[in-house]
Amino acid sequence: MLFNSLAFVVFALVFFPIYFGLRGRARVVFCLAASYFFYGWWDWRFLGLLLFSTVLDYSIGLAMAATRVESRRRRLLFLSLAGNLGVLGVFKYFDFFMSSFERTAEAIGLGFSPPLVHLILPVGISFYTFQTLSYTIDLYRRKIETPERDVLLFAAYVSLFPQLVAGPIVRADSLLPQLRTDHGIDWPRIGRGLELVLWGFFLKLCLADTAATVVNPRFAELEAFGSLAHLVGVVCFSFQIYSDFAGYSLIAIGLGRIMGLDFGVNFDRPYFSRSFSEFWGRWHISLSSWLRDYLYIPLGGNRGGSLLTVRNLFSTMLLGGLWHGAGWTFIIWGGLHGFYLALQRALSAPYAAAVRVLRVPPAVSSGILILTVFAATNLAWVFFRAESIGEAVRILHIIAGFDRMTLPPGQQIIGIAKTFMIATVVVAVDAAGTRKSIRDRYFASTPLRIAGCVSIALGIALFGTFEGASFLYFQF
Amino acid sequence: MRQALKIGLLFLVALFASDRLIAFGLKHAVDHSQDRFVRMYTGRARADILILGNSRADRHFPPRRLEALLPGKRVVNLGLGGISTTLSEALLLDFIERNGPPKTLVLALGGLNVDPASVGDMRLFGVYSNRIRAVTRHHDPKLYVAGTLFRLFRFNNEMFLRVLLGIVKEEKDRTLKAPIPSRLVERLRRRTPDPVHAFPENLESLRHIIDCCDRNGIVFVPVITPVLEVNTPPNFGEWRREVGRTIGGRAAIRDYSTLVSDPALFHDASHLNADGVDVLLARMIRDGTFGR
Repeated sequence: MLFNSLAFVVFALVFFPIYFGLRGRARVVFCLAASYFFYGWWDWRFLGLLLFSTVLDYSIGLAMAATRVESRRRRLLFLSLAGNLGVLGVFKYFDFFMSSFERTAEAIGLGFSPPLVHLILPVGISFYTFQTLSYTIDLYRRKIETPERDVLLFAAYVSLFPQLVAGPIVRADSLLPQLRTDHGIDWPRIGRGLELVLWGFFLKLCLADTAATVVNPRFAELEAFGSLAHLVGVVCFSFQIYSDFAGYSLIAIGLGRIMGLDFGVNFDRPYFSRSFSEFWGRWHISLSSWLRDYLYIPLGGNRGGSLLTVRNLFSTMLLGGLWHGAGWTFIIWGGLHGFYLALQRALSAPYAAAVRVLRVPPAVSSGILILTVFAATNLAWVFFRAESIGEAVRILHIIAGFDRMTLPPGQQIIGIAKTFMIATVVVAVDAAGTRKSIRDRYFASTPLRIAGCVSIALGIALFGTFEGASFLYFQF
Repeated sequence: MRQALKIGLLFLVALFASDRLIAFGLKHAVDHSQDRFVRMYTGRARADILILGNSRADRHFPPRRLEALLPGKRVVNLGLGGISTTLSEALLLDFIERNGPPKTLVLALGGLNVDPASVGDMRLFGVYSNRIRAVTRHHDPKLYVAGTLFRLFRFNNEMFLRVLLGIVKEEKDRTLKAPIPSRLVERLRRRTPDPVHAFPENLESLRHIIDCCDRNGIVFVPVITPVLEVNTPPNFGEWRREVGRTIGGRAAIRDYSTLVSDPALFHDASHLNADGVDVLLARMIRDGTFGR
């Protein structure tokens, strides 16, 4: 079920009154049933996979708590990893690895045709797999002291509908205690949740879906567009992917807030980052912190000297890329970010020295860094969006060729103007949000907040795209 | 609870009041636009030659250029990308009602292949036309209800931004300029073009348009504009015959589909560029398509 659909509006109108009318276990059971209904609306057959992950990690959690033998605990952790990543591997990566293997075999002259399974990718599998894995890993590390004994509560944690299909990935030590608490009706909290939902819809319907009208034709027919048109398309895609995913996250976080749950922050104005490490601390925070805690640090993090740090950065970013999709374009995207992070480690000290020597004003230096990070991120987005490496390279080739420095006429120009106009509003709101004084004044004034919400709602009515476009991160 | 209800109510009142107020202001702004559709709906678009159809009409029959080529004739082009023949019918009737009948109607037949359910940007003109509102209500009731509930929905389309631009800037001919990139022609050559299908509802509208022309003494000229050879639909002949059967003996189809064979005269797979348009117009004038 899409948040931007009439079905979801009806779902929410039925869900919330009942949710607040129930208490204790009845509420947990209702949440679980509603979440399964929400997920099953897309394809009920894949509820089996959700159940499999739930039962597997619930049982492993209990078994892990029942033993103090380290080797047995390790075997149980391995079982959880194998079970969850096995399912993910079969559904998401099997065909990719097999066809890559086939091409490699062909290249070295071996005739080999491996079987392909051609499975549909279950929506949200990467998200709930990582969410449930964090539970068993944290139990193994004793970060979570006691396992969850209530199977229904655990199932509700794995499948909670606001963040089930596209995150944020909320860890067990944060969410399970919240689900155990009976949250009453708290109007200020509900109001804040609704504000987040409204702004999330603005990002999705006004910016992401408008930018998509500029981006999609370029990737569908790349030769029809010249250098400037593709350059604009790439910038529009960076707006699209941000507002699509940040919009979804805000809706999810807002719905959670209405329910009394705190999912944390998933996006924190990433395009204002002055370094790539800062970017990853602001972009899809729940995933990047997951990768940091469960992959980068266990690999050694930055504790083993420069070369090992670079290796760990690359490994983490390559796997982060692969998490997004089974394709070489995603691996290159991850690799590029690994490269950026490594380059930043090498260049940050000389850059700071140059700024000091040349007496570059801090605002100018910040501007240069923000633009550099934004430009490099845009370059990587080309691989993220393209269907193939060849397509991405061709687009970069067209851009670098500086031929046809004109924009296409007609509706395309209007789409571009509309995208940049709405992006300016979003950037201005984000920039204002960085100033604590503005934030405090806004949230302290009810008339200002009402005016803000009315403006957002009118903005959606006037500039929103209502074609029920899916969220980009559903495919991951 | 009472405070929450008060805030909720205040929000709704402010929302609906602002919606109506802003929509009222926008409607007045739209009235002052020099945009061709607004001029038509406000009775400022008398014409000898009216052009209707989808983007093939819009991009191939530049009114200023035609007026220069046909001295003394006033030309109005109400073609637009994504307009079905059903919408063209509504536009023709609205045109006659507000500006009187033209002498000649040129209809680009490409609009027959456009889904009549896609009202698209034309819904803006629902503020002027009951016919457009009826088409919206028939094909997209959700959109119609949304537009009734929130007036600003009616202005939520690219046409509105174009119309706003028309307040400060007079519309120029909309001919496309650059030639099609050769790499794109090569790519198209390797593909099989999609077949075309005329929607029955559009064919019905085509009959209504011919009836309307007969009633008002308008010369009806159905035109097929040039098609890039590598992009010719595999069932083009069959489509052409079906359209011919619908029109019957009531008008002769001016088929220019094979007039331009040089890809350099195209802008993209479906449209000629300015040089190609010159070739097309010269031929059409020689044929007496726009009247003698």
